[in-house]
Amino acid sequence: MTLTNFIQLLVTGMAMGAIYALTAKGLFIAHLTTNRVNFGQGDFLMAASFISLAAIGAGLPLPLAVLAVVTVLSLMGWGLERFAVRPLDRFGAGRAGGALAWILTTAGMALILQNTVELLWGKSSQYSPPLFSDRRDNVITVGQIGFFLEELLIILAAFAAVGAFWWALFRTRWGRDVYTVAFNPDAASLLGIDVRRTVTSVWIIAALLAAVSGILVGPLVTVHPHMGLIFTIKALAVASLGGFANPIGILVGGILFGVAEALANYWDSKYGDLYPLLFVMAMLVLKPSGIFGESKADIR
Amino acid sequence: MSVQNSRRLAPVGWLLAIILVAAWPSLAPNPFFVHLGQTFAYTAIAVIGLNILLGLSGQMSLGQAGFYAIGAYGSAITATSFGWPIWLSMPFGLLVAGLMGVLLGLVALRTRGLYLAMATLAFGFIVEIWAQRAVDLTGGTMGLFGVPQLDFGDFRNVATYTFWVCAAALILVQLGSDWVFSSSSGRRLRAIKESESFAQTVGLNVPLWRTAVFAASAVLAGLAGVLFAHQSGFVSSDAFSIRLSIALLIAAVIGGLGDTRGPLLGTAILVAIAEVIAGFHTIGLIIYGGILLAVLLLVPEGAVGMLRAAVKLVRRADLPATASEAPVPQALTPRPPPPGTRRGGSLEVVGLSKAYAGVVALRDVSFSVAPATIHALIGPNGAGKSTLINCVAGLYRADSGSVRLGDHEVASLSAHQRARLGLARSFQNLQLISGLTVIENVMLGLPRLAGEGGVRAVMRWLAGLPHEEAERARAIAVLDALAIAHLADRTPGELPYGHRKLVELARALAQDPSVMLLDEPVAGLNPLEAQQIAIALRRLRDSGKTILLVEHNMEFVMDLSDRITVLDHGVVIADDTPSVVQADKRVIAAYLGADDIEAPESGKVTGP
Amino acid sequence: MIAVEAISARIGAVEVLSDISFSVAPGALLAVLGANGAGKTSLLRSVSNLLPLSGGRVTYDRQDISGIAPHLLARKGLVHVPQGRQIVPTLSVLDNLLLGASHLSQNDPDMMRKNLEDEFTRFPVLRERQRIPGGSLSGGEQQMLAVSRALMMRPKVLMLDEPSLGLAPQVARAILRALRSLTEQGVAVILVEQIAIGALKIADNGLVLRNGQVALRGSATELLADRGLVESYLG
Repeated sequence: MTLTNFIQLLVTGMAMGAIYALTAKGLFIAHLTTNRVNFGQGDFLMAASFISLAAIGAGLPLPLAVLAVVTVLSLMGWGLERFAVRPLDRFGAGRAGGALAWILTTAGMALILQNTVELLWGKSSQYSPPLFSDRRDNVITVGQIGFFLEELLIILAAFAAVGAFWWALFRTRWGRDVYTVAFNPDAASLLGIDVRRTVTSVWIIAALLAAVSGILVGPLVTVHPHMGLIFTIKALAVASLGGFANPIGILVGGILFGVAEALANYWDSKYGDLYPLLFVMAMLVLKPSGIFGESKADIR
Repeated sequence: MSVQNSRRLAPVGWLLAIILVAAWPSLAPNPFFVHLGQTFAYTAIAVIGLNILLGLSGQMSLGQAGFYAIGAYGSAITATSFGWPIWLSMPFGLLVAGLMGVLLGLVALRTRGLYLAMATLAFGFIVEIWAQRAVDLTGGTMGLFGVPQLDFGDFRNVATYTFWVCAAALILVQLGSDWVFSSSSGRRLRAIKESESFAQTVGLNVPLWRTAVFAASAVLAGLAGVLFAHQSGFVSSDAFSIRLSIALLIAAVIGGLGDTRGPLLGTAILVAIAEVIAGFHTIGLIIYGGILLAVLLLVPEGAVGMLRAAVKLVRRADLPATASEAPVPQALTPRPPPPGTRRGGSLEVVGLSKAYAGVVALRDVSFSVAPATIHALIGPNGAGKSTLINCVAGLYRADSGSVRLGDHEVASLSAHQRARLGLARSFQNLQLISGLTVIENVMLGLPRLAGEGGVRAVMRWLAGLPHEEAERARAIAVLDALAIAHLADRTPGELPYGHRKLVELARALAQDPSVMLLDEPVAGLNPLEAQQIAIALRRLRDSGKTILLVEHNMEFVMDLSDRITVLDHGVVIADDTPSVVQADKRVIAAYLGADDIEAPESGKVTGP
Repeated sequence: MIAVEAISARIGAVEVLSDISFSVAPGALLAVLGANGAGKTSLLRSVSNLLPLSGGRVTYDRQDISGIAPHLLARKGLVHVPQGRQIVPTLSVLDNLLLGASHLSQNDPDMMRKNLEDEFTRFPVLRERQRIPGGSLSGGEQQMLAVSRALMMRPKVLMLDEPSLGLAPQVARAILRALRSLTEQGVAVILVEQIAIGALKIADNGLVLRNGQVALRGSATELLADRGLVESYLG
C-alpha cells in the first residue's frame, strides 16, 4: 500500500465513520434518556436516503430536499415513540415479552418501513446524485494526493451535524433537561420539566440524526430498501464502544470503526468489513461496559 | 386441581400426538400438507429453543438464524463435500451449532439486555455474510445441491420419512420443554429472568445457567437447521437472513412467551400466515411487522394467554362467584416449623468496612448473632443498614473485614455460595416470582434434594403422575408452619400484602437456613399482620433458627428481639438488649438529633 | 397557602398514608417528623402528585390541585426538593441552578439574574464552584445547591425531604437556619426530617407520623417537651 493509497483510504474510512458516529448518536441519546433504542435506526437512515434521493431527483434544491427529509423523519421519530415504545409502559417487566419488548416493537416498525420504501421506490439499488458537487468523482488535489471532493464535504457536514448536536446537548436548556430526565425523571418533573415532552423530543432528535446520516450517506453507497440493518448493527457496535454513555467515545469509536473497516477491506476484500464487528464483539466479552464507557454496578 | 387433572391426561395427549404423526402422511389430502407438516415440525423446534431462552430466562436473541444456518451447513457440507453418512453429519451439525452457542453464550455471560440483543444481531449478520461469500464451502446464494435426503433407501416415500423424523424430533423436544417448564429448572430460569440478585440468594450460579440455556437454544436452532437442510436437499444462503430470526421471534411471541405450549401454537400460526400471505408477498414485511406490533402492544400474552383467559371466563361462569376469592382467615396461628436438617448457627461480623466512591458507608462494623436468637439491626436513614445486610448476604463485597457463618469464613464467597452454606434472606421489596404459584415460589427455596430430576421422577412425570411429591411435601410443610398452606396454588399477585410477606418468609425458610436475614419483614403491614409475623418468627427461633432482621417498626423490634445492634453513619453506636438500647442517650440522639442546636436566628448563613 | 385535607394514598397493596390533614400559612414552617417508613416521603410525593391520592384533597393557593401534573405545580411555585438532593452529576453547578428557573411560567432574564445573585450571596461556595460538575460537590454543598435550585424557582411553598440526611451536624444546622430565614420572606415551608429536635427548633409547628398516620401534632415547643416524641421513634 502506498502512502497515497493509505491516506485516501483514511479519508474514505473517516467519511463512513462519521456517518456511523452520527447514526450511533441517535442510539446514544435515546438510550441515555429512556434506556431503550430504536432497532430500526438504520432503516430510518435508509428511508431518509430514499426521500432525499427522490426529492433531489424531482429537482428540489438541496436545502428544500433536506427540509423534506427532516420533516418526514421527525414525524417518524414522533410516531415511533408514540405508537411503538410508549404503549409498552403499561406492562411491567415481569409480563410476557418482558423488559425487552421495545426491541421487537422497534424492529417491527423497521420491517414496515422497509416494505413501505419497497412499495414506493422499488426493490432495486439506486445511486444517489452527489450532494455538494456536480459530479460524483470530482477530485481535488492536495499536495500529490487526489481526494474526492464529495467525501471531504460529507465529512465536514457530518462533523458540523455532530457539533450542532453537541451544542444542543451541552449548551441549551433542552440538553440540561435531557440530562436531568436521564438522571431521574421524578426529580426532573419536580423542577418543572415536562418529562413526557422531553422524551418525545429525544426520539425525534434520534430520528433527525438518522435523517442527516441518511442524506449524507447517499452519495457514498448504493441505496436500497434493505441497507438499514447493516447500519443498525454498525451503529449499535459503535455506540457500545462508548458504552452508550460517552458522547465523545462514540465519535472517536465511530471514526475508528470506519477507518478500520476501510483498511480491513483493502487488506482482505472478501471478509474485511466483518473484522471491526468481530472486534467489537470480542470487546464486549472483555470489557462489557465499552472501551470508552464507564462501569456501572448492576445491583438493585 | 385442574393442574393435576391435566397432568394426568398428559400421557393420553402424547399418545394422540404420536398417532397423529404416524397417520398424518396418509391423512393429508395431498403431499403439500406433508411438506407443510415437515416445515411446521422443524420450525417449532427452533421456536421452542427461543421460548426457553427469551420466555423463561429473559435473554433476547436476534441471531437464531445464525445457529440454524450453522446447523444446516454443518450437516450439509460434511454430507456432500466430505461424503459423510447422514447419521454422522447430522450430529456434527448439532455439535457445531452447540459450540457456537457456547461461544456466544460467553457474550451472554458478560452482557445482557441491549448489548446481548446487539451481539446476537451482529452474530446472525456475520453468519449470513459468511454464508454468502464463502462460496467454495457453502455455494453462496447459488446454494449447495444434492444434500442427501432422509429416504432410508426408499426414495419414493422420502416425504413421509422426512416428516416422521422431523415430527419425532419435535415430540422429543416438546417433551424436554414440558419437563423444563414443570420442573425445578423452569422455576429457576424464571427466577433468573425476574431478578438475578434474588436468584443468587437462593443459591443459583446465575452465569452458568445463563450460558447453558443459551447453548441449549442454539442446539435447538441448529437441529431445526439440520432438518431443514435434509428436507429440502438444497441449501442457499438466502434462507438464513435476519428475517428468519425475526420470523422465529414472531412465532414465539404470537404463541405466548413463557408457556410451553406457546411455540406449537405460534409456529402453527406463523406457518399458516406464511402460506396465506404468499399471495400478498409485496406487503409481506408490513404484515409481519404489523403482527409483531399488534401482539406485543395489544395481547402480550399471545395466543396461549388468550386461550387461558377464555378458559378462565368459561370456568368462572360455572363456579359460584365467591369461589375465586378464597376466604382469607383473619387470625392465622403459625405452628412450629418442620424439622429441618440444619440447626441455627451463629453469625459473626468482624471489622467490616465498605466505601462507595470515597464515601464511607460502613466503618469497622463488628457484632455477633448468637445461635437461636432474634437479633435486630436498626438505625436512622442512611445509617448503612442495607449496605451491611447486602455485604453479609454477599450481594456486595465488603472492602475489608470478615463475615463468619458458623465455622465458615464467607467474606470472599459469592451470594449463591453463602446461600448454600445456610444463609437465607428475604427482601424488603418482595421478590416473589409472579409467574409461579405460591408453592412453586417456596420450592424455589428448597435445596436440591437427592433424586430430584432423577430417572424415577422423569418416569413418573412421563406417566402423568406427580413427580415432585417430596419437594411439594416439604414446601407444604413449610407453608403449613406459617399457616398459609391453603394458599399453595394461588399466585402471589392475588394475595394481600401480609400474605405475600409470609410467602417470602416461607421461601427463606424452605432453604433450610441456619441463619435468616430478614429485610423489613413487617414494612407495610397492619398491626395484626405484624403480630402474626412476630409469632411466626418466635416459633422459628424457639425451634433453633437464628434470625437477623432489619426493621423500622420499633414496637415490633423492641418486643421481639433478644438483642439489638444500632448503626449510625456506618458505625455501631449500641449493641445491647432492647430496654438498654431504648434508654441509650446516643441512640436517642441518633434518631431525634442531638440536643445541641441553637435556637433559630434570623439572617443569612454562609457555607462552611 | 397550602392545605392538606384528609388525604390517603397507597403504593401497590400497601396503604402508606391514611387520613392526614394539615395546613401551612405563608411564612410558617411545619416540621413533619417520624421514624423511617412512617410515610413522610410518601406525604410529600402525594402533595406533589407524584403519588396519586386514594382519598382526600390538597389545595394550594385556594385551588384544588388534584390531577395537575407535577411539573406544572412546580412551575406555579409549589416546589419539592426530593430526598437525596438529586443534583444532576454531569451538569455544572450553574446549569443545575438554572434547571428549574428556566421553566417558570413567567420568566424574565433580569429576575433570573437577580435570583442567581441572591443565591450566590446566600451560599457563596456555589459562586466559587459554578463551573464544576454538580457531582463533584461535597454532600453539604450539594444540599445547598438543592435548596438554592429550588429557591431559584421562586417558591410560595417549599417542601424539603430530609435535607440534613448524611450531613455533618454543623452543615445540617447551617442548612436549617437558611430555611428559617426563608419564612421571613413569606415562603411556607414544609420540612420533612427524621432528626426531630433540630427540625423542631426552627419550626413553628410539628407533625409526627407513624405507620402513615398522624401520631402527634402541636406547636414546636409543645412537641419538644412531649415524652411521646421519643416513644414514637423508639417504641
